Amino acid sequence: MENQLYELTVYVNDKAVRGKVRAEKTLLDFLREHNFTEVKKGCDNGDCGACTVIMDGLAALSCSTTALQAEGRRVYTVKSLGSWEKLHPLQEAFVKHEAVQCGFCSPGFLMTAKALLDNNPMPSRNEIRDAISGNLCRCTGYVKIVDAIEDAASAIEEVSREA
Amino acid sequence: MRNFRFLQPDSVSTVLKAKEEERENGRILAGGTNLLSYIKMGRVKEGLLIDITRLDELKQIEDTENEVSFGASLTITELLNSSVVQNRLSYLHDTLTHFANPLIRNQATLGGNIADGSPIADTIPILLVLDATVTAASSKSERIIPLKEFFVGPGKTVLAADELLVKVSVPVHESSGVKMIKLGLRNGTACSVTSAAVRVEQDNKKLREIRIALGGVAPTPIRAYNCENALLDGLFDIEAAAGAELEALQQDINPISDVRGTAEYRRGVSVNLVKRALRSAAGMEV
Repeated sequence: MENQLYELTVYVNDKAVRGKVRAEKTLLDFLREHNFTEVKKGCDNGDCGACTVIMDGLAALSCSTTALQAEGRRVYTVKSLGSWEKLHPLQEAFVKHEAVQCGFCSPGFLMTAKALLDNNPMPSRNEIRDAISGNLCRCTGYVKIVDAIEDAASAIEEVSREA
Repeated sequence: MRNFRFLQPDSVSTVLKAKEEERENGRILAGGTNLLSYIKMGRVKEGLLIDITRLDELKQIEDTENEVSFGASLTITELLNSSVVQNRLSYLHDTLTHFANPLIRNQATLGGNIADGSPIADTIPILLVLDATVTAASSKSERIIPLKEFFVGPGKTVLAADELLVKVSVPVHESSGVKMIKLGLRNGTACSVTSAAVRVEQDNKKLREIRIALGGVAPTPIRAYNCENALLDGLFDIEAAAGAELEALQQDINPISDVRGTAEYRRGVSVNLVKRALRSAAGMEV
């Protein structure tokens, strides 16, 4: 029997992305097949956080979400944060603190950190450590990542105070 | 070869109708943290994926004098953010902060954690000591099942093929002390090696009632009835109970050796976890 395909539209980085998918297709595979390859496929099992995106304001594991569960929803990948010309404060802080080595985990860390700061603009170091506990990095060892997120929070706070 | 279909139901009755037709093949998809894993492993190969995440009916919290009821598809994050959980069930709030990791907590649901039937599910021991019940609905009827009668074996529960777990009800024990301790090999994203929860009711330093439950030491999460009875029979004094050797606990548990620990280690650590949880629940120094 032919596998049934279902039509869907997901709003990725504020653009409508349409497709036809099998019922069990993950949001992660859907995004990567539509050229959002900045969303990384690590363990594909909910253990590493590399595939983290923001969906409806919350950090979401795209490997553990079906594409059809994202139907009609707003999904943001790391490319929604900033551009080469104008990096997001989180991206700037990751560069400044050398919180990136191989870079494979960075898109996931950045989206987890973005969701954290959106909900809690000035987190303590412990709150940062807890928030990123579902993201694995095998290069840097987390201290620089925590430093970067803490620094970015201050930078964002400063900008909003000046505004 | 995989062969799945997808259903976006508009109501719980649509889900129940689908379950009636599909039986075991009607796969309830909520947080996806278990089911999608099983599909990728090849453990689940076909069926109708029924997405219950958009049903508000399954996301209600009912706060009554004696009990708080939770819709089965509330996520762990939604429970942590609920003022009812924070204020009336603060010990449950404490336990949920140790559930997997914040990313999983955003998706995983209370009903899913229970219906999955894992012997090491992070929410079960505390719900067992609180005398929680679950409501199972089918297109024909609804029944309330005490959680202590819900688990049959690893991944096996008493839920019938046409039933959906719709609600989890937790009695509020205003005068009880409650504590659950989860032991993982690390803090974040850890499967528990063993977990233990204790609820005590005391009256002038006398033990009036005790509930002990454990995860990871038997084919299902368990209540430690032998240990509870031994403490109640022999040691009415709370200090004595907290200092007891808990030999009877060994009759309650039947652990296995696996990648996370040996059976022998689990037998030893179970005693320590119950002791620590008991002291903490009784308001004593741990």
